[in-house]
Amino acid sequence: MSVDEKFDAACELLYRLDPTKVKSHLQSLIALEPEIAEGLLSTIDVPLTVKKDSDSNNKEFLCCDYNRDIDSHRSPWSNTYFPELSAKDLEESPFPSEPLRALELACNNSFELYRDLYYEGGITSTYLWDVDESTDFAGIILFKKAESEDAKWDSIHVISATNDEDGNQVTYNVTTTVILHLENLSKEQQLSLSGNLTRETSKTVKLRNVSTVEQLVHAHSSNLGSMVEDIESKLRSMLEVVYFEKTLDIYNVLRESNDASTKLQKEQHSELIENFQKL
Amino acid sequence: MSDFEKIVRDIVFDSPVEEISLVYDNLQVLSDGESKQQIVSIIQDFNEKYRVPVTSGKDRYIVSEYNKSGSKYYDPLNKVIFSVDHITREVSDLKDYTDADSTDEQLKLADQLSTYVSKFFPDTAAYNVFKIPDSDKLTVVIVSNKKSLGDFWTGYWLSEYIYDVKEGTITGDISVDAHYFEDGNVRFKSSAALKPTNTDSPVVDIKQFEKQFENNLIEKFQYMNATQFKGLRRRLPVTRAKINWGQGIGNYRLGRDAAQDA
Repeated sequence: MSVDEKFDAACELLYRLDPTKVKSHLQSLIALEPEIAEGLLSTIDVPLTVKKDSDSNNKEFLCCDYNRDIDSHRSPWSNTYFPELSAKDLEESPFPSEPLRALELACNNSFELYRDLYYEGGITSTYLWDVDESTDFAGIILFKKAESEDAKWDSIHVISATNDEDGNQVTYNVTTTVILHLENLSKEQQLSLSGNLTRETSKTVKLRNVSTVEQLVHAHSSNLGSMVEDIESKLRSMLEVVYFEKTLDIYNVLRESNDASTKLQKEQHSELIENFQKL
Repeated sequence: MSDFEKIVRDIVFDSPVEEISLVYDNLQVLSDGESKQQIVSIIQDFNEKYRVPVTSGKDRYIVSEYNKSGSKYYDPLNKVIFSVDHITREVSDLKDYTDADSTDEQLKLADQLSTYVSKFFPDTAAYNVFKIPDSDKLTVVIVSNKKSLGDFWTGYWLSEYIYDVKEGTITGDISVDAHYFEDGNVRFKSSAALKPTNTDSPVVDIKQFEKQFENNLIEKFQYMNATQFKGLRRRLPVTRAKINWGQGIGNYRLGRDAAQDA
């Protein structure tokens, strides 16, 4: 079997196995076939981890494979790696170019506002990187809200921005995954709803009045902001339907009650799902 | 246990019960087809532990450690013995089996169970009552499995009870597992344990416990939706309007503060 076939088989498995154990299964599969490690680590989304930026009043930032170098992660606030990297390691560590760092700061600022309005708490971090010495760029926009172990939300937007040849318009591609974990573990009955949904979106936008760097930064950060807002709203609705309607529908076919009120409830669920599918 | 065996065991025992043949295919690819027997034997353990229904035409039988006879399984109620393909879960070599003597208590319980299962579970559900060797105990198993891979879901219900005929007590567990995988991977699990209870009518207690399980489940769903889920991310900001990104967030922040003051 080729490495590609093994990579595909491992991905299929990770989309089947219990999503709460994705980290340990990822490690197991890498142990079985070390050659697929790099591909799996950049393909499979795992819950985000949190570090503190001691150069910015210990402000928290989010960590994933995209802002990692060796065992350190770059903070979007101070643009510094934590734990600190040696001068020699830093020579090869990735940093955004100066104009892109300006956009990165602007995005982090605007998504702080967004986070405040929609999450009323939580953490956000945006990381950008240059693509092939062009004005194109790619990046990742992250949100995490975890009030307790019982209810956790991670949203991960992998983005790319590609300019057309004359620079009049830009196409944004966004692949979003939301990892949502809910559980209710009382003594008499345990219940968990856990997993992730992914959605891909693409949008081409005309660039107007972008003669200065400042204007361009504003254009990109507001375009990305409005896309992320739309996508998260749609995904939130999808999650609500899948977590609370689809799963209960499956339960209802496993145990078909002859009770009339349960049957009525079931019909209402399928109506909701039909409405959702029309979206 | 080798590292390989431990990894395969973890993966198999974490799989949705109704997706085992797909998991088997993936494991075959990952092990270059070199550990087929080892993987099948782990899947056999898994099938027995989850009391999976195996099919012969329309008939369904359960496999477990209680009704094993060498490499075969027998059904004490229908008095047949058969071989099982653990990947396809199909029965072969089905024969009459007169060695399986069943007690009156076992038959009576099976009879009541049959009425209950036909009323509260779909036609495809399977059940059985097994004797636990060298004891006065009977094991009651109810399994219900459904799937529609084309619609991206599979589901599994297993409830199992131990009825001590001499003591007149019953204990048991219910576990439900649903997997939905269109555009993602979402797993719903719920379980509950029945504490040892005195009983003179086990099926009545089973019915009551399973009804309570379902009521709790619906209640918990409502709480998780209304409280836990809603507390993570709002549908819209407090202002009830989407953000006006075009104006720039500096202006927006002022607008929001003004709205809050109003």
